[in-house]
Amino acid sequence: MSSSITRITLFIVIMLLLSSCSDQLNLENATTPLVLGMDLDKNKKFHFYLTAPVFSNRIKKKSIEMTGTAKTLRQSRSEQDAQTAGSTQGRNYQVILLGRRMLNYEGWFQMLDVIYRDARNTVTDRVIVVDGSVPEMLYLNPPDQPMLPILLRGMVDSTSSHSETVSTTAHELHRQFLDKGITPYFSQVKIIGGKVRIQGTALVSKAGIYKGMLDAQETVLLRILQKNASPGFSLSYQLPEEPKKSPFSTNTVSFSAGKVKTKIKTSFKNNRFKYDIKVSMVVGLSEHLFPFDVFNDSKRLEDMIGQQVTDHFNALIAKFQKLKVDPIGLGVYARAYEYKAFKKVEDDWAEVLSQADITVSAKVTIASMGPIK
Amino acid sequence: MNSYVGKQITLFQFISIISGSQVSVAVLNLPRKLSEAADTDGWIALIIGWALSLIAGLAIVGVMKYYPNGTLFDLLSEYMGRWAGVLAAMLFALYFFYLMYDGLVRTILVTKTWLLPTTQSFVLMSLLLIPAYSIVRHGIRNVARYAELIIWISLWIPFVYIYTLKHAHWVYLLPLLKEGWLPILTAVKATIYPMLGMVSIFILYPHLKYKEYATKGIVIANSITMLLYLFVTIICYVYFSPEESHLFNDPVISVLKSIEFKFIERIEVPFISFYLFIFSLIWIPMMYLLTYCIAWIFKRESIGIPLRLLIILLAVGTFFYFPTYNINNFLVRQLFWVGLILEYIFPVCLLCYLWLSKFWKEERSSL
Amino acid sequence: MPDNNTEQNIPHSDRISADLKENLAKIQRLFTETPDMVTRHLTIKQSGKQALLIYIDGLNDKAAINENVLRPLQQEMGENSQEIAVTVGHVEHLYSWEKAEIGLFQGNSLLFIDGSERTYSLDTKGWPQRNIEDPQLESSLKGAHQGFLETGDLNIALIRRYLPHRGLKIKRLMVGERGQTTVSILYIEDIANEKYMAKLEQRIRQINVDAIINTGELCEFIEDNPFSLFPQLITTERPDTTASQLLQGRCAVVVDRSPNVLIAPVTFMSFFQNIDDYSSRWTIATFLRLLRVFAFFMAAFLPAFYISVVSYHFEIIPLKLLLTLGESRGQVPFPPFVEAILMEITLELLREAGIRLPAPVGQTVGIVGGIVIGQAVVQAGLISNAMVIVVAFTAISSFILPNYDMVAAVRLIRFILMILASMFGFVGLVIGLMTLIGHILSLKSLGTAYGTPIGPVRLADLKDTIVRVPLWLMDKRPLSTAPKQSIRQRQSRIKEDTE
Repeated sequence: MSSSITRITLFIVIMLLLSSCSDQLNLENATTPLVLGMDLDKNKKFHFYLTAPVFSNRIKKKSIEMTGTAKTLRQSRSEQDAQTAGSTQGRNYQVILLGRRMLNYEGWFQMLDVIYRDARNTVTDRVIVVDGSVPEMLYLNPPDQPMLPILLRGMVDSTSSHSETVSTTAHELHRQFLDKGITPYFSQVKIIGGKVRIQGTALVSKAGIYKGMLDAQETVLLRILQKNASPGFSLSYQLPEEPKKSPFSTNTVSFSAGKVKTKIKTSFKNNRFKYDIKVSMVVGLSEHLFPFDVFNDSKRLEDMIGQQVTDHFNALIAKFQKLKVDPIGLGVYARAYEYKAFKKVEDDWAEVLSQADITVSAKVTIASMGPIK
Repeated sequence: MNSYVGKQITLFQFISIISGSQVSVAVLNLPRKLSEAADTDGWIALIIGWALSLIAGLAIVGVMKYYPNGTLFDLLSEYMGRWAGVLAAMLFALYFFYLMYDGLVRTILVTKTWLLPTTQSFVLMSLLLIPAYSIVRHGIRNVARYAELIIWISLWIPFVYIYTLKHAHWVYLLPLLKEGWLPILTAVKATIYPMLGMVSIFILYPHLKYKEYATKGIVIANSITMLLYLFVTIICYVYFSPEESHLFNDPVISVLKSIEFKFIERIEVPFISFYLFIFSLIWIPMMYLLTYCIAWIFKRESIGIPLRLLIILLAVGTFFYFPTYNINNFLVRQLFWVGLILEYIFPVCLLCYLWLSKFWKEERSSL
Repeated sequence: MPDNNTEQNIPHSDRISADLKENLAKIQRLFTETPDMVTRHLTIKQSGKQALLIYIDGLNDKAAINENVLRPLQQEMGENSQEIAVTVGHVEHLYSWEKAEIGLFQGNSLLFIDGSERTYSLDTKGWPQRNIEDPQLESSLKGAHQGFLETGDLNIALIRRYLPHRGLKIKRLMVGERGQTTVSILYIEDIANEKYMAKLEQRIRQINVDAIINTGELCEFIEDNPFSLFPQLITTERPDTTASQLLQGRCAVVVDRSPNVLIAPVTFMSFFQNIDDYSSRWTIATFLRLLRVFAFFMAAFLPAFYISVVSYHFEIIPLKLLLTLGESRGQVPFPPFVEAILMEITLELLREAGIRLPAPVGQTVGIVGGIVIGQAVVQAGLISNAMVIVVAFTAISSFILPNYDMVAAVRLIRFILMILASMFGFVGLVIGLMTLIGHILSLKSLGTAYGTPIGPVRLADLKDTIVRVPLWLMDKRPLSTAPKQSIRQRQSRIKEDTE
């Protein structure tokens, strides 16, 4: 008797199971947008843009673009489905493009909520701000370049791997927005002469308002201060002490750094935060256009370069303080080492930081000078 | 009344069952619960929680030493009469059902959130019951072997978590004791639920091959669990900013979302699927223990009939009712109290009673 | 000479008479319509008595009958003794017709002598038999090239060549009402645990059928769980494998007329072992074993994995692969599950077609399968490229597994998993694996856990399962067989200075 109960139960279970496979969605039936773009038009109306690959070899154009207006991203789903053959899924985003105009208004970060709330969405998509309009970039489709998502993703990944921009993922953006001791930053691209180009790193305030931009060199310095610089980045400076033969900048020295050490000392005195940042790097010369006897006189060169780097660091810090942003995350250090003081001011940390006393000093050691003396 | 020949389990299997049923679903949101109470100091509470669980675990083993060749119910029948055994068996049957149901519900909820959002709950429930039935049916030894094997094949999981350390911000852990000891002490409350499951010793003990290792077993099991929790909690704390770590429902899974490998874009999808193995370490042993309790009440050797009835009850019951996330959280909050009483307070009291009754007996006989 | 049947307990009707005529009449009555039976009257020259020799034509070695039976009986040879003067190796005295008949049909010739109440069963067996060949299913690169034959005694002899030791014991049983198959259980007395012996014997004795034609049939009668997909006993064609298994404390069952020998008890991991593992270097043997485990999972899971990725979890596919995969999927009219089933069934058809056909035709099947199906189907846009790769990979993986029965099990499991994957994606896959693990853990082979050494974990046994450590480190026999004497060797290797 008992075995017949088992069999009947098994049968019922199997029948129930067979009756349901509602989550099935075959790859070819889905539209998998790889780029999610968001922008405001001139009338401050929210637009979304998507690029999805087309899976067919009969159609020449490999991607399809969709656009529309909606109140929120999730609401836009039906608009998206209406424009394609398949059901649109947010699972494969590679990049999120933000229009520069959108960053003039607070609250755009809240619009991204669906990215984090829908568990099936990816959070490793790179966030990029477009200096210009998003649709222009999306419909660019240059014939001699790969698909936009592959291009953008590749550009951001490779450039950030030598520290010249940042590779902020959607998840990282979330952290930057929520952590009270840091302000968000992400890479910025622009169309220049019909080509997509990485410009550098965009800085925004805690509320999401666009504040300014760092170029490649500044981004390298930022990443050094974040203790996040991948070895192999290269910097070049013009040394005022050396002769310059116009129009060539023959007083330039370039080097790539190997090991970089950043020490951040935090203190709180007289109602002011004080940071003492020491950077030391071991570099290899990759280029010096002026004659210099590195072999015997390396100490002098080290000092000259060190001075340049220090100056640039300090200029960068001054820029941050002027823009009232904290992409380094100095607030995190404040919380870790001066918890009580930080707790009081955490809600307008950027303001407090702009009053803080920050000094950077850099020390450069030349480890190699290449095969030419 | 049972014979334990041919139903013995090894020390490692014993440890696997205990640790497995402690970790399984509880690990998912532990970092969040700790950080809700004590922010990034929550991991200190784990150590205190571990000490408490050791006391409780040792008390359980201490109780069983009074009656090594039977389960708790045999012991109670011996000391207080069969009614006490039956009462305890019913109580524990309910408790095991609670643990098992909580495990199943949480598994289904997680699966639905992350993998199959529109599949019906009762379908998933029936699906989970298939392997459960095929394992539990063959008795304690099979359950123990299953637990042991799953522990072995899950050993690679921590290494994937180490991979997230690439994005770690160790400075988030500072300062220690930022708000003093009070929040940490309140966070200890959150460590009770993840340590529940030790009580299975009450039934496993007579099956243990070398009983002298039982103490060692519970210490190792609780320590493994604690180390694992510590590892996961610290990973979550250095990965998420302090403001975020009480924002993610299941931080242990969310952490994985950012891992990128060249050959696989989203690691968390296969991961959650694999997690089903670890989740199963709560409902499979608990299903056995529950059916054992019922079989004991009816003085039966075989667990076949209660098991089948239970499976049918669960499958059919889910068709009509299935808890939501909020109700499940409510269940977990209640489980804290029930667990605290049954796993922490009850064994200690029982141990005192047994010790006193023995002491009195000796007193009397010496008079 | 053996006189193994006592006269007392034979019923009268079954007793062989002393009168030759009476015997002849009985023979003619018993064996009607038996044209292949040869009856030969002769006079024994020594004693001058009338005699009758009968045998079944074809089951006997004619030369032996002529040379060793007829000639000595009809020529005057030796002294005049009680015994008959035949020169065959084994002569048995039988008193009952029943026994005589069994002997007759097993290829003995029966000699009836007038005035004697018994028949001499002369061992003149000799039936058509093929030569010893390389085993077909389990050919080996470095091992011996001898496979079992269809004669039980010869098979036992082949095993004994590896184990010339009196510890090798053989228990003989007869199975089958009509077939009368000799089934011999081989074991090494001081190693094998007797509980397996007892269990085997008990189960074999329980069999009550017409005949056991093949070892596979015997397997089905004595397996622990007949409903399982997995083989719980190994059949091998190799004497060296058998010898090695016997030395590990297992029992072997030799079934007469079957070229396969049964090994019991076995574990799941035994199906991944091959005799070549021991003759090649341990590093490569370990690598191959790992490869086989990998191949097992590939063969069972790959199509299911593909289905669940393509129809549920395509977010895990890296971008570039996604684009390629999408493109190849885009033109296919079927959902992945149907596509996979179609291709898998095609594969199974090709495989079956190849087995039964003679070799030259078999090649044609390969060409048809490879070119027509493989290429045309993709070009026609019916099946995606990716699916063809998946199926090809699955097929190759399943060819790596050394045991045919296990491959058969994997084939079925693959289909079950494909169905589960098409309904629940990865969740279905994991549930399938969970059930599989649960099932393997609950299986038993002759009462021992089938899953050892991985479930229950026996660390000591792992030395010779997924990996193979050097032979001189395997000092003990596997624990899973619970051997009576567990030490296999001691310090078999001299440690010399490396300088």
